[in-house]
Amino acid sequence: MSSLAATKGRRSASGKEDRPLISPLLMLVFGLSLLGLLAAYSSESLLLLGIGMLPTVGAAFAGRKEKGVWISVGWLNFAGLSNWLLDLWSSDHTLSYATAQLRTVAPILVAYAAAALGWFLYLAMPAVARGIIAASLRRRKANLVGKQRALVDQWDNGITTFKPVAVEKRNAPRA
Amino acid sequence: MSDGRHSNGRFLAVLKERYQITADPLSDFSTGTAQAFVTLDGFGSSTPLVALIVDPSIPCRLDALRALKGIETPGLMTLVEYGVVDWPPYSRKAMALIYERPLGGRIMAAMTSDFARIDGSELMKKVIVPIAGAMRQLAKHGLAHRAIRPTNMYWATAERQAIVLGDCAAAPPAFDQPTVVETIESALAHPAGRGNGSAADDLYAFGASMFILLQGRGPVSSLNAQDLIRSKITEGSFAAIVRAETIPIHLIEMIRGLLTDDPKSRWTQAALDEWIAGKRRPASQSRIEKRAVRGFEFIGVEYFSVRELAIAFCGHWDAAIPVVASGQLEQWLRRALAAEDMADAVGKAVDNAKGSPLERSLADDALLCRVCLILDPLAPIRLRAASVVPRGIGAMLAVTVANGTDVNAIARVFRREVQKAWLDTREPSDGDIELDGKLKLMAEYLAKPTLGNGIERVLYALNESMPCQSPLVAKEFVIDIRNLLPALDIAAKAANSKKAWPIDRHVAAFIGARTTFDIERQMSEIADSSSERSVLGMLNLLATLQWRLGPKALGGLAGLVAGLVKPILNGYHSQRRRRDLERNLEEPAGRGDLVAMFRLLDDPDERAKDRVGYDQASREWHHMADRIDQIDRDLSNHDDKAADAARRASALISMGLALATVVALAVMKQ
Repeated sequence: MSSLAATKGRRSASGKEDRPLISPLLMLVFGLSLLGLLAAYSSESLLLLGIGMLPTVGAAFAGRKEKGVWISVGWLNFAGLSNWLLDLWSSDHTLSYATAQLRTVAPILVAYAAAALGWFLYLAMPAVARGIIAASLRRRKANLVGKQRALVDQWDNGITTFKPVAVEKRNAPRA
Repeated sequence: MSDGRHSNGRFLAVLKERYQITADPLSDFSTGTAQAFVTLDGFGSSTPLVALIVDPSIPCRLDALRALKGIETPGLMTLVEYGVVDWPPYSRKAMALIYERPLGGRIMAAMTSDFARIDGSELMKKVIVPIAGAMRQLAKHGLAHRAIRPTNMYWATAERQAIVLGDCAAAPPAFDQPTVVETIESALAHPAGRGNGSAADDLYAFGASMFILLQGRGPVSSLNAQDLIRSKITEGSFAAIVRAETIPIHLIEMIRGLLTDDPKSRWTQAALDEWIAGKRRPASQSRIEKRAVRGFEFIGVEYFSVRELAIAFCGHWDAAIPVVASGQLEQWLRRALAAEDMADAVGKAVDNAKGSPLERSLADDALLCRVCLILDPLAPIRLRAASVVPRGIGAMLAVTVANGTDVNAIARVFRREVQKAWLDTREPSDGDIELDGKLKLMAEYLAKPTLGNGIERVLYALNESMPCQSPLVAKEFVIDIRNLLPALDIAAKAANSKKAWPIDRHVAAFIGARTTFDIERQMSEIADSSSERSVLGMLNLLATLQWRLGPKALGGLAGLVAGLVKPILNGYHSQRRRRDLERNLEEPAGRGDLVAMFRLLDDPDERAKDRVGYDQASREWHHMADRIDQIDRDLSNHDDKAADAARRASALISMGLALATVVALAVMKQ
């Protein structure tokens, strides 16, 4: 959680202040509440989650630099563990059943693999986003250049050098 | 207008659909500036006619033609008609003057030829009475003939009972007059620069001609023109011309009176009429030039009279300047001639020249010009090669241009100092103010080098009958401004190049001189350095002329101009508007409507719209450029944005996958 709090007040290279994806305080309250509830009513679930969700905890602490990585990891980590959680909740909601499941290793493997998938998603997504954004910008630029060319064709090349008063004022250096 | 090619019953040209000019020459009637041809009246009249075809490069006397058209008098060849005809031998148009043809032939073929002398007893009836009557008629119309000489006199009938004067309008005044029949001051001027003169000049020429008719040969043939002038100055005209020849006693008084050198003492028309009526007059005494007690030596010759000396100065211009500037002349005038006033005037002129702000050579020229006028106030303006009276400058300029010789000699005469010298050295007369104003205006034209001014403007301003000399319209012999556009239209149709400008210096100057409405703005636009303004000014000028003077259709000229308007079209920013204008221009150009073309191309509303659109387009372009700059900045620096978006996206995708998995498993397990 401290990594979330640490993001507050940071600025990105573009100068904008980074906003955390979820309020750290909210997350803390939610997390503690969940742990409290689980401890009080389902220690079996707490056991399963405590061991199965370890990658998420690790991501939360490891991701000081990788902001929000724990969210991607966490959701998929949870998804990977959900089959056994549902089994626990729907069939034999006992500590021994939870322990037996953990001993089969399968839940741990699936949960951790899903967490790894979440990490991979987090790491791969920036490149995809960059490509999409660049393509979008280039398309907008091409569109504008085309419109400029149409204006030059309609008028003459003089419009590129002639500056109406309003434009000159707008471009004038500020005192 | 020309319909025939040879004289066998056919004709070379027809004037005003009536007078058929054949190719049969009439050399007796030809002059130095006009060729004569047998002419027939197409309406069937049996009156024999002669046509004079005037050399197109020489301005004829339009004022004289207008006056002569209404005059019918026994002593004058009757002018029947005049106008411009297509003249095949010149391959261009020319002025044709149609006269009733005298049938008795020319009196004297050349000034050196012998001819059958007219007896003193016949002279009165056959010559003096009819010609005096003709001069009286001309004077009533305010016109001087200025071509009275034996070689321009004809027997009116085959019976040779009376003489008529020949043409006087086919050349500038006194252009063909030999020295012997011209007054001293007129003879000193260039033949083309003698000016209109007055009845006094005609009377002098008449007197000299009478003497020649009595002799049957040219007088003083051994003297050249300069010697004859000197002889007239030193001995007086009567003595110089008559010499030892005999004159019938009853004619001496008349000839002496007419050959008096002092214009104030010369017989007038009234005196001549009284003499014809039988009233005897006191004998006139020729005023001999005052002679100095000792000569003034100049270029190895001693001169005793100021008029002779002035002629010598003008003949040796550069040598005379230091002599005059040194004060020798002033001293000689005081001591040898006792001409105190003249000496004072020369001294003042020399002093003024020393303090002149003009360049040295110009100041020296102006000084000598003034001094020559002081020495001989009746003489023409003499300035180096130019010798001209102010009212003859126009004709002299025209002849100089026609001959292709240097016009600078005449251009110098328009200097203010020279004009003032002329006006200062003669008795004031009624026309001085008008003349001064006119010369000042000409000097202003000369000072402006722009299209529509310069020496060309002076040429047309001073010569009402000068046809436009532009190579574009020279063949059309355009005298009247109304004929200029049709002539340009013909030229445009025949032009090889469709890019040739229809307005050159001559056309512009001709328009400037002939129009009565204001065209200064158009002229200054034509001279503009911007090709758009210049072409627009040209179109504006032509459109103004068409609007004012017609004709309505000028297909050739409009087509030519349409090919020249690219700079105007380029003045519009909108490409679409340019294309529209170019397309819309075809219709008025096809109709030959220059006015519509100008209105289309110079529509203020269209220009305003174009300007506003251009401003708006420019503004939009720059806004787009700013946005493109921003995009370029984003492209080079979008990692943070991408990372932020990626974080959100990966969180959302993870959440979506997780929820879908949980829901799917939950459903499956039920």
